[in-house]
Amino acid sequence: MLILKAVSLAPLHGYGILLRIQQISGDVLSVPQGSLYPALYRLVAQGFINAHWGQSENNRRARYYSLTRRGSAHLRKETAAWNEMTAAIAAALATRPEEV
Amino acid sequence: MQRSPWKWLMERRTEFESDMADEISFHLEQRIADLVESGLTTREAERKARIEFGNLDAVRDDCRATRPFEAIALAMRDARFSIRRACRNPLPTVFAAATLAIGISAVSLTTSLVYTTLWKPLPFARPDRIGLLWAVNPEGNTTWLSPPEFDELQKQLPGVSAVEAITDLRAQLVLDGRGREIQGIAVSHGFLALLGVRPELGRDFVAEEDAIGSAPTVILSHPYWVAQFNRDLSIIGRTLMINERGHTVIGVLPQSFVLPPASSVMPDNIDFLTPMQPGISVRDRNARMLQAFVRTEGTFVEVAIGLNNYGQRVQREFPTATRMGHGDFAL
Repeated sequence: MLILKAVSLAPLHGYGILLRIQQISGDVLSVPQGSLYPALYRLVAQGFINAHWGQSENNRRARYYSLTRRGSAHLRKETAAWNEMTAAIAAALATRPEEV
Repeated sequence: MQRSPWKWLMERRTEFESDMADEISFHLEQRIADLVESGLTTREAERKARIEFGNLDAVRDDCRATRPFEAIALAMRDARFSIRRACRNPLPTVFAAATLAIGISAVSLTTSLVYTTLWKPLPFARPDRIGLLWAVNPEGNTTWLSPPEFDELQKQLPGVSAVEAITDLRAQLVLDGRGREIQGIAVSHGFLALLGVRPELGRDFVAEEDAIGSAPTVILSHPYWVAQFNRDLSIIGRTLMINERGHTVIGVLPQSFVLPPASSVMPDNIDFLTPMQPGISVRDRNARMLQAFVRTEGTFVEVAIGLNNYGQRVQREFPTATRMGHGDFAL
């Protein structure tokens, strides 16, 4: 879900995705570097993201990933489910004795 | 020019490998550059980047596993490797193949033997409900039933749904002016119904045909019908001269029919069945000529109790007659 969110903002190469996730999570979340690429390849195989070769900021050949329409729909669905779940957990944790 | 699918697959694979290598080395270079910028020496940065990335081979394998057809490509690679090894050094392969061949043939031979002798179900309906009825002679040995005993048991044995009997019958058949000996069995009319067997052609015997003085009828076995009458469908209704009496053919048994494995005295292969009563008028209580079968929906213990009661009654009424008992019910 975090990878889809990161590439939904702008097309990014693998290393860029790693930095973006750190950045948008306020340095709280970091993806283990070794597991990033198998996850990206799996998302490409599932049709949620596209991969294409381009030029990096330092003129190096780099593979960029961008969100597909299918990935966008999937991200919306996952986000809604996540929000529902966290809201439910938050509500459960905020329950006071007199409310039971 | 047409490219083979294999070549196409290999080209895609090479492309995938080189893209993956490029992508990972780009990642490491970027990470090293960032680490150097943060104050590490190049050497330290390289080391740290590699440690952070983890096991390179494992990552590459995980990436490869996401490709479609990867499992097929892997299996083909393994097969090619095995064939190359076998060509280079065929002896272990031949030895392994021979061991497997011997093992497989031994297992399949054993399985087919055990299946045909032990596992293959008898071609009867609910064979576990069918049992044998025996008389027990004064020496304690099991023996066949006499016609009066069979009649009495058929009428009054409690706890059974049917009691039927058969007896061996060799006969003379005259066909096209030539006589030949054929092997049959005489049966009480409900015998096939007790086994749950229906004729493949024609019909089963009815009670009237199994009465003294009725017109003789006959049901042919499948092999005899094939061998003697060449599967002639018009056989039903024809009259065959058996033991100098005209017998009307009323049916043909199914190909799968076998006699219940009751007694070694009964023939293995039979040519015909005919109702018992028209030919058998023996009323001697000591004429032990009938092999009897019983079908029960209850337990064989109930049948055994009924038989013992009957045996005691017979002994009171006919003190010189053989007492009744039961043998092994299982077929």
